[in-house]
Amino acid sequence: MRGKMRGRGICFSVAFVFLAGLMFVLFSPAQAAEPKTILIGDSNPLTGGGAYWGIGSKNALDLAMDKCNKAGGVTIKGQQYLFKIIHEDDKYKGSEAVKAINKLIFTDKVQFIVGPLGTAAVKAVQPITEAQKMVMIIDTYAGPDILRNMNYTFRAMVPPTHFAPSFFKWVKDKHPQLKTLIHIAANDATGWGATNGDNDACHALGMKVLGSEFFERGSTDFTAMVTRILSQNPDFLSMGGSPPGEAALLIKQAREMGYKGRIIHSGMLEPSQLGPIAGWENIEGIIQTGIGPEGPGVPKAMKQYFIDYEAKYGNVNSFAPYIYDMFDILVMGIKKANSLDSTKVRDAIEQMDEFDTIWGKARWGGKELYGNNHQLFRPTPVSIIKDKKLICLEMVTPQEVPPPSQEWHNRK
Amino acid sequence: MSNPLKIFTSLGALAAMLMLPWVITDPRYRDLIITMGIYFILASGLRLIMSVGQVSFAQAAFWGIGAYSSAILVMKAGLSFWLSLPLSGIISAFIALLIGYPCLRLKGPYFFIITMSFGEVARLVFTSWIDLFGGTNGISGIPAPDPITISGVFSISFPPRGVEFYYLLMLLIIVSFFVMYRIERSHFGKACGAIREFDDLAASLGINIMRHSIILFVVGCFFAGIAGSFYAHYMTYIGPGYFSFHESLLFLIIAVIGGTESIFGIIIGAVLLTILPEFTREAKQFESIIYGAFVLVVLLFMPSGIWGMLKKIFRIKPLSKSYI
Amino acid sequence: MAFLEIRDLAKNFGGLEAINRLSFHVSQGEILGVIGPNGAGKTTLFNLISGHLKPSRGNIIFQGEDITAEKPHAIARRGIVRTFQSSSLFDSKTVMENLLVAFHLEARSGFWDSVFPTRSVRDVNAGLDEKAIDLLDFLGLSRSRNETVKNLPHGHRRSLGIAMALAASPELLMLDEPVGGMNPREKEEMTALIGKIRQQGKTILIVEHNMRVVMSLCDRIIVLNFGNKIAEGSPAEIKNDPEVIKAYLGRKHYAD
Repeated sequence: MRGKMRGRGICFSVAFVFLAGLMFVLFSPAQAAEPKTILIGDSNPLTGGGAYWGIGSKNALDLAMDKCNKAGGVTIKGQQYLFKIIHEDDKYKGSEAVKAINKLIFTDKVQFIVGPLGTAAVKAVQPITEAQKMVMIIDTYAGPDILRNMNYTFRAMVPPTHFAPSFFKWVKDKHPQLKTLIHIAANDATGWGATNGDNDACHALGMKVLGSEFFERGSTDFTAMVTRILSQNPDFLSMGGSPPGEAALLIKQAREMGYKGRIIHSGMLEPSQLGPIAGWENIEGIIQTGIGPEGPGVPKAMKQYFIDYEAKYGNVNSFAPYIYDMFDILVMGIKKANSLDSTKVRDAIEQMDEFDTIWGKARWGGKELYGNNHQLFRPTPVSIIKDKKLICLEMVTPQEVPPPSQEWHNRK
Repeated sequence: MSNPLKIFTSLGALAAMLMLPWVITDPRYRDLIITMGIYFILASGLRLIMSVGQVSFAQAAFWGIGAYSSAILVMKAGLSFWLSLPLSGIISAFIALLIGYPCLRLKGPYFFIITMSFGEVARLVFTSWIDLFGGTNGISGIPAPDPITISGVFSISFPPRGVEFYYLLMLLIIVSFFVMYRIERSHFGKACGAIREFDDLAASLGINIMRHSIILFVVGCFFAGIAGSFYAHYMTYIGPGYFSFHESLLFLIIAVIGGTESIFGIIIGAVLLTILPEFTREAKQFESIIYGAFVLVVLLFMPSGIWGMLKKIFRIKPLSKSYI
Repeated sequence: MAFLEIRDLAKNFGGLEAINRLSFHVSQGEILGVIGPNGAGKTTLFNLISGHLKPSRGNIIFQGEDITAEKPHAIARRGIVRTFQSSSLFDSKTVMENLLVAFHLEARSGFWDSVFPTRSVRDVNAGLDEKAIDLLDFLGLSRSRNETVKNLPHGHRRSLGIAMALAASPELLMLDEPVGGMNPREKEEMTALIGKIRQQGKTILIVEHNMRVVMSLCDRIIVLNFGNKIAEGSPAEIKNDPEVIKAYLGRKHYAD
């Protein structure tokens, strides 16, 4: 009996080991087939002065990521990958952006970076990201040399340098009576970038720039500035590079002091942000490049985007659409490269032909200006504030080669 | 100096500083340590003028003056970094002399307000003088320090954000620590403390208040300028936003939290206020609240800073023997 | 030539004349007392001489040189050193630390001396320790050498204040109410101490309420009332001056 028992014990043991081995063999490939994760780092201002933009960016990126993950993510060499975005706050400051990017790269070990939107932030982190060969898709507005000599930095935001010529050509075609202007902007990188881009475009179109005015961020009293402006009697005020808060106060004071002319803003001004401060009647007819869900010019994909965004977050953020595509572009690059190697992804993004975005057809360009094709070109909206709403009238195509620069800051 | 414990401690600290890069290899943490070091130099420079009871709110401006000076001297005048480093300190010190001479006659809140205005003026000059300072775009592509070569023996070059920067900064820290420590322990430093505590009595003992205040302000700004030069070449990009009001406030908080009584307090302050934001990073929007609460608690319960509290707990005796 | 000469000195705060066209002199080696009721301008006079206040009019001449426009530290350097009425000291520091600061003029205390202390700097400053200890012995304070000043009894604070003034090696020592708020035993000790300082050949100017102390110590006395000098002379003369008796001595409690 005993011998038999022992024999049975051995039998069980062998069977157990065999079964365990079988299970290992069976299940380990299944485990390998589990989707892996691609980490993407996002550094944006979630608190402080640029929080509205930063939170819009965060939401837009999460929206795009959810959509992609739901569709199964990407498959590279037979392996399925899903995405995860780690958001860090750079407080709209260069020194904080460095800390955020260092954490993302060296602690979280992200593979790609999207996001920094301040010029100072981008310039501060580029020495790190370029040295680490980290593909970074940025959305900063200003800085002509932000792409020059940069091998891994792409810009998915069209700056005024490129869209202002088309935007102001539309203005000239539709409103030929607007011939003279004064430009007003904040005294910061964005403000200077907009001033130069807008004024170059207007100058090239034969409009007369009577002057350029700058205010400090946080200003509340524009009386002296408005008085100067009124004395020169421009046909329109060009306010690209004025942030919404200051722009609202400026519009209110200009209208109260008797300015009756047109107001044009080469950026975006969300009516719901502007109206309560500036007065609803004062903002009617402002021409700008913001986009909302309404109007004959809104592309179909953009309409769907607004529906999705509102369904998820319950509000509209006018900055978010500018960011949404950044994630898709990165995914397209990864798919095309069929690799996670950043240099291969970089090459794949560079070689992308015309592709679809929520704005319409887009492509990479800018070699003539920046030395590489890392600048995104996609249609830009022309919108008008009508009955308290932003109505998109038309999409215009930005120009790759801007008119010659006139150095407006040296002019009085 | 004859105290063996002191020599032992100094050598230990030196060895720890030399070994640190082997222990901490992660570039992120090395960058944080470098940030700490820069904050230390700046806050300890600020502490100098605080030792006569004056608070300057322009420390970041002098940091910026050093940074811009160095970038311009190297990029436009073609100077070597090793020349521009001391020159930036001297330029900052010289401007501090021009500002300090009329302004240090003012006491307390008046001096505070005038330095705050100077800080803002400096920022506006950086922003608006585009041809020289690059305006809001700042200056990018600031080159690394030239390699130090003794032909055939050795060569040290400075790759972007390399460990070489760490050792260069440690050298600057040792120099500034040495100067600050010596001042603290000397008759000169004690005279400054006397001015802060009771200026009329100090003056009646023959202590020249103006002279002491100006020397401290100028020396503090000299080191701010040196820190600026290092920062510019380490970051390779500087812009006017780096040297704002907020940074001046940060240095003041470092000094007050750590404790202005001793240079060791500044070390504590610099380390804590660099690390704290990294720990509270996950708290996202609550970060500012945690930060504010921390500062408030220290100010309420440790009026002489963390160093002051440690001193009380461990009964670190005040110096009753001679000064240097 | 007088040691210290006050010529036609005046100080007004707004409309109030604190010192009105005051002239007097101090001779080398004497103790001159300045007395007067509260608000007579005694402390203002001190502040004017020590440079903490600038006069509206008049001159202060010390050893033949006009020092009217000089700053307090420069006047101290010339050898005029004062104590403060409230015996305010550097409260957070120890007795020894207070005294060492007071040796400022003798110490090698420049900025470069502090950063690069040469052998001679070290020697000079180390020598001050001994001097400080001697001075504490002289004043009977050596036992509380490492005491924090704010914990000292009142009498000791006064003594330390005088020690610190002496450390600045004055030619003219100005004492602002040296026995104010003291008990009789402390007063006696202080009187003896001032006598000892005088024996070292210092010239002393005292502002004091206490008549007995003033009468026993001073060679000459000046009486101020509402910023005006109403009498000047030896203690005996002052005691019998009808003007003084009317303005001041008539009030009994001052003569305790």
